[in-house]
Amino acid sequence: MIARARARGLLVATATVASVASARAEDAPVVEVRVIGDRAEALQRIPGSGAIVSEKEIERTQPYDAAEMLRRVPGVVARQEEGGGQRLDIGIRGLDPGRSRRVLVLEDGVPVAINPYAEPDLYYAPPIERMRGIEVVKGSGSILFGPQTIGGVVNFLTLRPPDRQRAAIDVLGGDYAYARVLGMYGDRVGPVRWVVQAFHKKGDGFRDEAFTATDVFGKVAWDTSDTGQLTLKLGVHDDGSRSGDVGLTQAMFETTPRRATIKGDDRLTLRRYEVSLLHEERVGNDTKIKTMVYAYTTSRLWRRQDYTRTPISGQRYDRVVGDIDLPNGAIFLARTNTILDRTYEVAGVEPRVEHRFSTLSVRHTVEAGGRILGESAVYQQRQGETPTSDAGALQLAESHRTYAFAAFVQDRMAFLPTLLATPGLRLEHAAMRREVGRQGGVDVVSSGGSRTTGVIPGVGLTVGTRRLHGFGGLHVGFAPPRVTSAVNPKGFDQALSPEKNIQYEIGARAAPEKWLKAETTLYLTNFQNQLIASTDAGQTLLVNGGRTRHYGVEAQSTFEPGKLLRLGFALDLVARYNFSRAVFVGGDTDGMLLPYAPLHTATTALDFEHATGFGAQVAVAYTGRQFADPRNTVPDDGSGRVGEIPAFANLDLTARYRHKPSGVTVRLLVKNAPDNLYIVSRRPEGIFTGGFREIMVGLRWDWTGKAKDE
Amino acid sequence: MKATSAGAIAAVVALGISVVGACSNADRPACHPGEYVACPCSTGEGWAKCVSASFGYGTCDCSAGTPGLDGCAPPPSFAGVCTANCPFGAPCEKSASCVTGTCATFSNGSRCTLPCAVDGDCPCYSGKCGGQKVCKVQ
Repeated sequence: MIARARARGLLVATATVASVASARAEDAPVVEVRVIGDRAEALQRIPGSGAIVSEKEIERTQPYDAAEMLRRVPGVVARQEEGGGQRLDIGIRGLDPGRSRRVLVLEDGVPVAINPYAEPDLYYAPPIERMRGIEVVKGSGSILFGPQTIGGVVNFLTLRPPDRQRAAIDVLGGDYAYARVLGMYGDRVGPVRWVVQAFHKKGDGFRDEAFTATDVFGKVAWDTSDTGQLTLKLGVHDDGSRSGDVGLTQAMFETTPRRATIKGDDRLTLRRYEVSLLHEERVGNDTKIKTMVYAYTTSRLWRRQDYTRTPISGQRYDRVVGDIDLPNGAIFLARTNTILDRTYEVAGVEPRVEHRFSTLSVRHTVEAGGRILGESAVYQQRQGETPTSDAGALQLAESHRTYAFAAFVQDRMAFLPTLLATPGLRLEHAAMRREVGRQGGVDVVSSGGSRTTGVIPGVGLTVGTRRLHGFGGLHVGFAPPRVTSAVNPKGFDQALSPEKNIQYEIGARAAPEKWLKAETTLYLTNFQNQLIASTDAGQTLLVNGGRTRHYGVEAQSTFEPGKLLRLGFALDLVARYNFSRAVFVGGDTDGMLLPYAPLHTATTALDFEHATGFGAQVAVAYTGRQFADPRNTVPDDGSGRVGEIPAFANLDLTARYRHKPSGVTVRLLVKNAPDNLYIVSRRPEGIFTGGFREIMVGLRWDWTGKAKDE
Repeated sequence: MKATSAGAIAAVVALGISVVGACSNADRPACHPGEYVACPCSTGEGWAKCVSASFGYGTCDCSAGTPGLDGCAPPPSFAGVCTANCPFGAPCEKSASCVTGTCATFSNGSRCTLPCAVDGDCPCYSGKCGGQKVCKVQ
């Protein structure tokens, strides 16, 4: 009787797993650039810490944007600022998350920043709708990529071309007039596999910051020979949002925290075109040659109504918001605006070779390669005569370009199957040139250049088996200075040093049972020089800020009682915690925490999934208190720009039902279920709140054709 | 799956989307009490103060200066010629240097000024719309 009951339980459990797997039937892999990889032992093979956000996690979470998934990675702070997920702010291990400029963000191995060397800001945020996974590498494995290696590498993995007919239609709608329509179709014709996906979304935003986004991308993969494969990717992204640079004053936040943006005429539009080609050729059993060629262009127009907090007689203003009786309590909006019109272009070629061989009893896997990259930017700043002008009179015109060369080599040496040592070296060289043609509304002729070279060594060590292993490593982090900081407007080289740090880490991973996994990492990062924002004569500039120290511990565990107790359904609990202390060393702010570096962050998610198609998730994310300035000022200054950012927590709920015979999935999402009001940022100018409670309902139809014979 | 059950699911979701989507920002206040908006006056420009969130802005006070500025402050003083982003009253050489968009010549030299039709278009310390339809700079 007991044996029969156990057998029935096992049968149900097996059926559950099988049904879950069939819902996400894996297509055969295609050639792509990975920073970690798919293999079961992939994390063991990278020299240092890393994390993978899987397709299953994304499906279960139904994230609003990429930040919602990234904040679940230990050591990562990802800020959700705007409705629609159009911008992405990622910080790793105490680094300032502002526009993710200290993290190397890739999409299928291709850099995403508008200019990876000269202006590594993430104005284009890879839309989560494209993604099937995210890889994050924080240790010395990041030296295989670049140019930024000071924070870590985030690699978004887009949909894979299927090996059979697949189609999907997805409709999602909810509060704040949020609506999204998505369509996907893919197929295989002979040796060619392809996928196309398009979506359009729009909404009013939480603070009347209406947005729209349209995204189309396609991937084609085909076998060029028995030993070669090519993947071509094309993409177009267009978004626009009412995006103001001025947030609430402290008094506004305390009295009317949900008020609409005070700069309703501001607007940011962005368009990006991308193309990439990746070819892999296998030579024998031990050698792979991978070549990637890519190019992308991003145009961004941001019009912002002029304003001041200290009005002067003679200037004409349009509105006065806030409280004129409080210090820094009012904002005077002018009748003019400033139009920042910028176009960026990037092109690169990256060949890399992987070769395996043995010397004596040591098994080597050598990866070596290089990159040649060219990038350029054209800036125009215009003065508009109305708050809604997109034209205006030219005040500033400048351009810059960078030619960069990088080379790297890394050898993963397996002395034993349980002992891997991975030394590596990266060389970065960039030559930047800046030309200013107009400044302050006056034509000028000035140009200048700057060169930067970085040698980035690193080594990682892994000891143990797949079920239990320790890892450790150290590497040099490097980031070239931004060109607008390195070369001043008169064309002089400012002699700004590149940012450099030395990162140490040691950790362990354990997977003693199928239902239990755990990982913890201790880290220490010493910056020899960190560029910090400094305000001088009303302009915010990056200057050499000196030494900083970051240390902490990251921990993650996954417990699956559904497997342990053979419950007949999946019940997964994932918990993550990060302690990160990032402080200035020396100077006036010695010992003070870096801005936007919370001491504590934690996330947990409980997932339920049943063979009948029902599923649910409860997820909590906690972010400890932060400071907005290097002096860790707690009291607010009235303007909203300075002061403590109190700790906050998000609670998100997801419920879904998948009707397997029809392929129809219904889902209900509640983001920020308790409707907590919290400050997410005091930048660029004032208080920006996190998203309010948003309830969404969605319907998705997936269709899969029969597998075709070769 | 029966076509009817798929249709039922779709109908439920469509209803859900339409109900949930009805919650938007439509209940925004007309204005925030204590705040101001510039308004046109026959004599130039005045300011209207927000009376209440439901009522909106009150009548235009054509005698008011910029809220938060006490009376008519003296114009700021400038040393040398201003070349970029120059405010009203600054010594200038060309209109492009002025945020006001106009550099005009007065008895005390060239100054950034504003085009005007009536005296009310001009800052209070200027007070006068000159014959060339630009605000005088004292």
